[in-house]
Amino acid sequence: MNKTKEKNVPMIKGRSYWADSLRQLRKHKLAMYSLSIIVVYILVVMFIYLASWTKTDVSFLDWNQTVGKGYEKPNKQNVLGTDFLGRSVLRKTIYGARVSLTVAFWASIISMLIGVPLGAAAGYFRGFIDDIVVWIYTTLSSIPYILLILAFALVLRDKTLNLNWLGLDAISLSGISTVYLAIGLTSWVDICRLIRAETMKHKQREYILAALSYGCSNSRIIFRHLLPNVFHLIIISFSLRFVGFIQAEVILSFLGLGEKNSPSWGSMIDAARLDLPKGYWWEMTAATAAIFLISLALNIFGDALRDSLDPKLKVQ
Amino acid sequence: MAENNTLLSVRNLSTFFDTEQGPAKAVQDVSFDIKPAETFALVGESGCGKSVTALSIMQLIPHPQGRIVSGKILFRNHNILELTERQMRVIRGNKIAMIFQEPMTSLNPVFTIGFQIAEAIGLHQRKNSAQAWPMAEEMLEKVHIPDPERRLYEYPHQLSGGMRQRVMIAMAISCKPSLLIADEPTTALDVTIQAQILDLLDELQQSEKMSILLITHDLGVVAQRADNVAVMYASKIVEQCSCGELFNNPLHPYTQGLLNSRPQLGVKQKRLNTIAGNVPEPLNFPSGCKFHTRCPIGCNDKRCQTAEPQLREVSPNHFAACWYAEGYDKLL
Amino acid sequence: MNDNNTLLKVENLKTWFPIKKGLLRKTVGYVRAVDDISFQIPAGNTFGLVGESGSGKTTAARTIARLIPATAGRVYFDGKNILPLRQSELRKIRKDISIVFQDPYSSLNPRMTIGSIIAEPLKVHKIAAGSELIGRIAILLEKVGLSASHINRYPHEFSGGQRQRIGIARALALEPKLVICDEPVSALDVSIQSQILNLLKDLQEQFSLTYLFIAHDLSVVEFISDIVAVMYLGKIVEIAQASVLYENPLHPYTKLLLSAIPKPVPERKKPSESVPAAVSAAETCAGCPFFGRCPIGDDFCSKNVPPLEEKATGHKTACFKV
Repeated sequence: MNKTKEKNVPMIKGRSYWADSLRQLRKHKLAMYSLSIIVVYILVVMFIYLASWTKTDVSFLDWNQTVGKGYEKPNKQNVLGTDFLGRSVLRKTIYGARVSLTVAFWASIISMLIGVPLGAAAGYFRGFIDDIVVWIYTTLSSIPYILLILAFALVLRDKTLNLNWLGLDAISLSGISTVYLAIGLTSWVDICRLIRAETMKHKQREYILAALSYGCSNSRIIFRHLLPNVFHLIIISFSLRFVGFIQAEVILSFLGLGEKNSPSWGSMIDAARLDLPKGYWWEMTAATAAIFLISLALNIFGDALRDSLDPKLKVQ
Repeated sequence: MAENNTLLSVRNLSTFFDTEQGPAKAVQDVSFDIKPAETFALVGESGCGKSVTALSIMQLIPHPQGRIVSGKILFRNHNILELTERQMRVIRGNKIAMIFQEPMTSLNPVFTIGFQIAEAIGLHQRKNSAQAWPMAEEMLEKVHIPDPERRLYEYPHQLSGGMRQRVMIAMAISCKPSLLIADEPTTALDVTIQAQILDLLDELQQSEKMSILLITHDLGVVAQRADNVAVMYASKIVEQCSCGELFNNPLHPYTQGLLNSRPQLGVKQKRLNTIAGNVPEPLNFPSGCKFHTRCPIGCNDKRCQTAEPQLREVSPNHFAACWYAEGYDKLL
Repeated sequence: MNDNNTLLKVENLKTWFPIKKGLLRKTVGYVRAVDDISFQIPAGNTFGLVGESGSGKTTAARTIARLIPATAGRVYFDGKNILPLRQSELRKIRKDISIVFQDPYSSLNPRMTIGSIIAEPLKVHKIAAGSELIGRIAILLEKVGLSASHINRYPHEFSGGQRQRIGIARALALEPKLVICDEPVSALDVSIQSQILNLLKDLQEQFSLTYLFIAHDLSVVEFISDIVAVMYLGKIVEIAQASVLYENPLHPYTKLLLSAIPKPVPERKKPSESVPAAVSAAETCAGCPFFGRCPIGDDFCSKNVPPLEEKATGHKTACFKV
């Protein structure tokens, strides 16, 4: 009887907050342009990985190839000029996206994986757990950020991580993985704080009380009720902090702690730093412009994302 | 049109809010007059436009979404909608003051009570703080706050809800306004405190000779405090008359429904009378008479469904916007 | 001692919140939110708990529902004291006691559809799944006066009254015996309040529910309740059958509350009938908690706490002067 009934009733499809937000976001022209820039960067990086896995030779990805004399000015053959070994700056810049985006991506993932559960647990359970989490992150955040990353990067450099206890193969840390581990392990504090505060706020809401009143378990409340309500914050923070991670990678590479075997924007700036007084401006310009473009796009897109996702900013 | 003994005259006021789905018509074609030293009540449910009307008078409609589309607001025969923001600031607080529903959020939590009242006095009366503080104390005394000298140095969170509302009233009347707009002044308060605050407003009205525009959803509050009443429904006034007339001889089916649906004290009722349906939202008001979807007679009536009745004088000084205002009782 | 008819029996229930101060969070005192209250609710009845904000009525209800730990006392549900039960044992009880909350905006998870909100209790207790679950949700929605076609919509697409109906449907999903209604209509519009009150009454008849109905509005409580208790600063000051209490209120606080209700009679009230201000729970004296506002209290009242005594059959009040 139930079944027949359910078939007779035409279901009305609801408008979720997500659908609403996406619709609003799609109307935001500048954000859409920014998104397309971000997508282009991501596609480039994916293409680089694809080419290296399939061992395909793609000429414009062969950054190590000498294409001209050293320090050639931007010209018709080499649009962005060449570096001191006569390698194409354009190819280096394109290839540099790989390190930057990979580092930023994994650093974000690592900091989310640490920050979100800790923040949610601290905000939900309060008491002892909260005290410990708060103690850890206040300690971490009282150390100057750059120094902390440097310390982590130096300690982790060229180490082999024994992951047998996780049932995984050992991972040897080389340039790029050192960098994102160092950044990820040090930068979960912000997201943890944010999630903790938001969880505490939502815990006061009556819908959580209602869930408790019909016997919902703590883990179900956290995963089914609380996290979906703070998830938009995770996404917003992901997009806005991505920029910070790209820049952190640049700083680390600049300081000589980054990836050494392949070009990154940071090492390009590092190398060009000494050339700049001699008038060889193009390498520095290319790397900076690449960083600038993605940073700008991510910032604009992140802000638009915040405007559309955050229910607090919604006009009734 | 406005007579000489009218303090505030609102004429055909319409206020819209721009939303993604188009303009929300929060207030449409609202007209009423407030005489000196009278209490005029604006009654209605959430979203009916009563608060927006008040904010329109104060010209505090949030920008840029909200805008006054048409109409006049004549304060002492001057259209205050034509004033500049600078001129309006002189009127606001000085001539027309406003108190809000939530006394916790309408006081600034980081300043003392005394500072906030003194600031209001200083702003409008060009007094320095040495002159303003004793006046602030006097105001607190006027609103019957015990031990005003000590309270001056306290912060809003140290006061109870009722006390905070008294402080708000003290601030509002500190410049002797001739019109006080009270937007749901007692909704957030307990019944016993509500009675005190309403008594206080009554008393101040007598002593200060000011008019009060009382905005509320509670007809019980209106019954014993107001001289004239306008009932708003879905952005329009649907009935307007003297307070006694409204309770003794309500003409609009909405007013009748509101009066009947309250559980009555001391009367054992098996079931309550209800008004069917939901309060319509400004973005999708029904066609025709906006009440017809919930109306016991209008729901089946072609005219109610298609044509909107205008507010008209059904009996002397009693206005109603209903096609059946004269013969409603006979139909049921 | 327990007659079979009593569904809920509360004995000497206390909920005190510690006031903590200083770096080491030392307890310096207690807020006696609920201070030694006792009452019982016969099955199928509605018990109205009235009081102003800060009287402890919501705390009392949440303590009874085991959402806030009790400081002392006993709560017998179906003859069994539920306060000492552990979480695992409590799950069975949670099926029988449900809550309708005050705020229809914050009591529904904004990211879940109506269907999944109502389904949650059923899923948590693994009572139904699949098409049976959907069928049950549809029936529940229709019972509370909504269309089953709304299953896939979200709370923000509904008005306050409709949301409260959804909250009621969720509360009824597990077929509870006791429903705690915590100010279910006070956030609603006047014209919607009466709809919800009628609905609650209909559902009570249909499912033979027992209500613990909390409100600050005496006229609402009179309409829905069989027995009414008046709370003041954590204590019950008067308790009686609804008809008796409203006809013949004994405690001066009850009288004060009744006189303060604005009556829909159009005559100007004389401002002389002023009402003394409320004091906070922290400021009470050693004696009767109502002493500070009481028009008839004397020296004796200021030093002794009046016990809740039976003054007439079934009519208890805590006042020396009655």
